[in-house]
Amino acid sequence: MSTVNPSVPIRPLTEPVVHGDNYLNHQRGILSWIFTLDHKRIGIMYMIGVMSAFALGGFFAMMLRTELLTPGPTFSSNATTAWDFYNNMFTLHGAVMVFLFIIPAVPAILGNFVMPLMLGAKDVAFPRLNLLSLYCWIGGGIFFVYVLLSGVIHSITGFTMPGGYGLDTGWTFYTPYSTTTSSSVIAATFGAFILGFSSILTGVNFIATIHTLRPKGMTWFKLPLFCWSLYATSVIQILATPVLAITLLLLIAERALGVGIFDPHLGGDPVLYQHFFWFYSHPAVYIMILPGMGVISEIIATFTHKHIFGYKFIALSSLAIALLGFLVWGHHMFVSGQSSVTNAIFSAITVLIAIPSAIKVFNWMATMYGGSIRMNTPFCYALGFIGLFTIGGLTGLPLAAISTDVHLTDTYFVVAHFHYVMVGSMLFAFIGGMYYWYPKMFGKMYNDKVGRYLCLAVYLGFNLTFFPQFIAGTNGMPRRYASYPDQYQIYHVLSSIGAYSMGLALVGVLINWVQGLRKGPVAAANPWGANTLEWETTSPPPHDNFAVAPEAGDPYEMTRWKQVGDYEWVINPDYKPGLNPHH
Amino acid sequence: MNHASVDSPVPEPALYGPDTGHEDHAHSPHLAHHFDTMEQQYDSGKLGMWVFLATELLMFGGLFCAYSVYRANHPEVFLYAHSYLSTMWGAINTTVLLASSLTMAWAVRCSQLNQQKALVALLLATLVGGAGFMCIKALEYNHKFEIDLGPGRYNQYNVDYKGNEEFPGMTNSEGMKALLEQEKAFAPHQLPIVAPASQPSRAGLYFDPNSTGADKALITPRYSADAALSESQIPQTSDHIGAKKPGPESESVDEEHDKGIQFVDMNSNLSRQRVNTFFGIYYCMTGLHGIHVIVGMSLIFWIMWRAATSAQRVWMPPLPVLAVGGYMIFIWAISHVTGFLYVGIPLLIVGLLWMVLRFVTAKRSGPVTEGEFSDAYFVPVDLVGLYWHLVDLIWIFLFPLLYLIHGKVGS
Repeated sequence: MSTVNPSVPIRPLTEPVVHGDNYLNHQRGILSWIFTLDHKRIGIMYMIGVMSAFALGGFFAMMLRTELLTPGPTFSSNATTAWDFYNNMFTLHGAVMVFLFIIPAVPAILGNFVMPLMLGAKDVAFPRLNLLSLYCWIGGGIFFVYVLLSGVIHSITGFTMPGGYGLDTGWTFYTPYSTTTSSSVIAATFGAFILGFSSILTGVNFIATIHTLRPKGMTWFKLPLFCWSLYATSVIQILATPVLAITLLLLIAERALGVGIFDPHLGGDPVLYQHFFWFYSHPAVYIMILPGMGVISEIIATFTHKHIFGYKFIALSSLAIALLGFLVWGHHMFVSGQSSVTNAIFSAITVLIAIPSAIKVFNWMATMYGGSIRMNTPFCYALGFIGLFTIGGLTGLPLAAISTDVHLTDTYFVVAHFHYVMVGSMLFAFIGGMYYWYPKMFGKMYNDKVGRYLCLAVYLGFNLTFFPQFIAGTNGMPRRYASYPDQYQIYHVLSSIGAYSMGLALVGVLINWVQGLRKGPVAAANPWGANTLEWETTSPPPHDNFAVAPEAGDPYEMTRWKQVGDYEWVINPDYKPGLNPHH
Repeated sequence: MNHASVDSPVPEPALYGPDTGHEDHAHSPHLAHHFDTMEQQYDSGKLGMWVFLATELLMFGGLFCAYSVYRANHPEVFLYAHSYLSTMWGAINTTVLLASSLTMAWAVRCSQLNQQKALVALLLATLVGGAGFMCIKALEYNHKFEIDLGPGRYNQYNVDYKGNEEFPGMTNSEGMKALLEQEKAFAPHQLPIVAPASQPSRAGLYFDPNSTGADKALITPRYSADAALSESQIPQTSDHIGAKKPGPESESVDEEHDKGIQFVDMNSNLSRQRVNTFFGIYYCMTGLHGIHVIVGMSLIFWIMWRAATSAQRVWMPPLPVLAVGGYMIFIWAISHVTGFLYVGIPLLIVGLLWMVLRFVTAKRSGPVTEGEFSDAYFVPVDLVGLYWHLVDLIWIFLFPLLYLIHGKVGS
C-alpha cells in the first residue's frame, strides 16, 4: 500500500477551524426541532424514537423469557390469562421490533445523518419529504404501539383502553386468523400501512440523493460502501413496501367490507395472503441486514487501515442480494401447500443468496488480513457481527433445504436463526455504527474501554440467549408456544438468563453513550483516521455540513496517513480517541 | 468549480430553453439551498417522481396479482359477473380520462413555452375531465348499489368485529351458519311480485339473472342475452346461479354449455355471494384508482393556483367547494339519497356566495402579477403531469381487465 495516487489530494489531519456553530445549536427552541428540514436533526429525532421503540420491544422480550422460565403459566395462576398475555406480548415484541426498530434503525438514523455527509452534500434531495417520513413514522408508531399495548394491558389487568383490543396475530397478520380474531387488526394494520409510507419516502429520498447529489469526482465506484448498501436497501424499500401496503389494504377491506380476497369462505385464498406478505417481508429481511453490512464495511476499512478488499464485489453483492431477495419469498411457505416444483425452485434460489453474502464476509476477512488493526469499540462490534452473521447465515441453509426444513419449520431453530441474523448481525451493526459515528454526531467521545467490555457482554449474553434455542428447536420445541414439556426447560432457562444479561449489557451501552455525552472529552473531526467525506467536517457538523464542498477521491485510500507522518498515531492501540494529537 | 456569483443586470438565460449549457450563477429564487444548479434540482425532482411512480405501480401490481389469482380460481364468476358492467360507460370513461391526459400534457408544454393563459385553461380542462370521470364512476357505482351488488354484505355475521345486528350474541361460525340458514329459507320465486317489472327488487338478498320476474337486472347480462335463452331454454339445474326455479327439471344443459355460461360448483347457497366475489375486487381496484384520481385532481388544483395570475386567483378558491357541492347533487340525482342533497346544496350556496364575495372585494388596482411557472421553472407542472398520466395508465389496464372479459368456461 505504498503507492500514492497522485489524483487524491493530501488532506491535513488537523481539525478544520472549530467554530461554535453546529447543527445542534444553530437554532434553538422546540419548534426549530419540530419543523427542521436538517437531515442531521431528523436523524437524531429518529434515533430517540427508534431507541424508545427498541426499549419497549426489548422489555417485552424479557417478559416473554420470564413467562417461558417455567413449563406452565408463570405470570398468572390462571392459564388462560397467562397465555393471552403471552400471545399479546410476542405479537408486540415482534411487530415493534420489526416495523419500528430494525427496518428504520440503520437507514433512518445513521443513513439520514451520515449519508449526505458522506456525499459531501448539504442535505438529502428532498428535505421536506424526509420530515414527512419522520412524522409518518411517529404517527404510524403511535397507532401501532397503542393497539399493541392495549392488548397486553387488557390481557393481564382486564382494563380495556378505548378503542384498543390488542393484537394477537403475531407480526405476520396471517389470514384467516387475522380476519376472524376479535383483536384490533384494522387499527394495527393501518398503523403498519403508515409506517410503510415512512419507509417508502425514505427510500425515494435516498435513491434521488445518491443519484444526483454526489460531489465532483465521486463516480459510482468511488461511492462509500455504506451508500451502496443504502442504495440497495432503498431499492427494496420502494419495490417491496407498496406490495405490503396493498396487502394490508386488502386485509382491511376484507375485515371491514367482507371483500374476501383471502377468505376461502368467500372464494378467496389464504395462501395468497402469505405470498403477498412474504413478497414484502422476505425482501424486508434484506432491508434490515443490508445497511448493517454497509456499516460493517466502513468500520472494517477504517480500523484495519487498509484499502477495503474487493470493493466492487462488496458493492455489487449488495445489489445482488437486493435482487435475489425478491425471488425467495416462497421459502417461508414450504409447508403451506406449495407444489414441489415451486418448493424446489425457491429452495435453489434461497441457497444462491449464500453466494453474495459469503462474498461480503470473505472480503471483510481479506481486508483484515495483514491490516494494521486497532481494536476500538466499533471494530469489536464488527467482529461480533461477522461471527454471528456467519452462524445465522449457515443455519439458514438447513432451513432453505426442503427436507430438513420440514422438520425445522416453526420450531425454535427458526427463531434462533433469524435472531442471529437480525439481532446478532443487525443490532451489532447498528450499535457498532452508533459507536463509530458517535463522535461525529455529538462531538464527544465515550469511554472506549468500557465500550469494549460491554461489547463482550452483549456478545456473550446474545449467544447464551439464542444458542440453546437451536438445540431446543432441533429437538422439536415449536415457536410461539407459552407452554412446553418439561424436557425443554433447561434450554428455556439458559435462554432467559442470557436474555437478562444481554438486556443489562444493553442498558450499559446506553449509559456509556449518555456518560460520553455528559462527561466525554471533545472529539476530533476525524478521530479514527477514516477517509470518507463525513470526517472532513467538524464534529458535530455545522448546519450546512461543509464550509467548502469537499472533493471526493477513493474513500478507502489509506496511504495518506503515512505521507503526513501520522501512521504511528493512527495504528497505536494506546491512542486516546478523544484527543487530537495535533492540538 | 467557481462559486463566484455573477451579479449582472443582464436577464438570466432560460435554464431549460435552447441554451441549457449555461451555468446559472445568479441563483434562481426557486433553487433550494442544498442544490448547486437548477439542473441538478430538476433531475432530482424528476428521478424522485419516477421512483415514486414505481412504488405506485407496485402497489397496483399487488391488486392486479390478486385479480389474476381470483380470476383463475373463479373464471365462470368473472365471466358472468362482469356483464353487469356497462362496456359503453367504461369506454366513455376511458376516453374522458385519455382526453384529460392530453390536456395535461399540453399544459406541461404550455408552461415550458410561457403560455400562461393556456396553461391555466388546460389545467382547468384536465380538472373537468377528472370530475367527469368521477361522475360516470358514481353513476356506475350507484347502479351496482341499486341491484344489491354493493360491498360489505357478507361481513355482518362477524360478531367479533362489529356488533352483530342480525344475529346478536352469536360467534362467527354460528352467525355465518344462521345467515346461511336464513338464506336457504329465503325463496324469492315464492314471494308475491310487488315491484314493477322494470325495477329490480331491493328486498331480495340477491339477484337472480335467470329469473323472469321482479328480480330482473337493469342491465341484462350480456352473455345470457347472446345465448338467447328463452324461457324453456333456461337451464333448470341447481348448478346455476340463484335458487332453484319451480317446474320440471331440465336435463338438456349440454348444448347450452357452449353458448351460455356454466356455473360449476354453484349448487350451494353461497352462489349468490359469488357475484360479490367479482364485485369485491372490482370495488377494490376501481376504488383505489378513484382515490388516486381525487389526489391527482387536488394536485392539479394546487398547480393551477400557482400557475394563475392574480386576476385569475379571484375565482379559484371557491372552486373545490363548488365542485364537491355539485358532485353531491349529482350523486343525489342518480341515487335519490336525500342526505347528499342536504350536504350538496349548502356547499353550493357557500361556494357561490364566496365567489361573489371574492369578486366584490377583489382589488382592481395594481398590475396583474404573473403565475409562478415559466420556461425557467416548470418542474411541479411536469411532475403532477407524470402522476396524472400514471392514473390514466392504470385505468387503461383496469378497463379491459374488468369490462372486457371474454372466453368460455368449461369448453
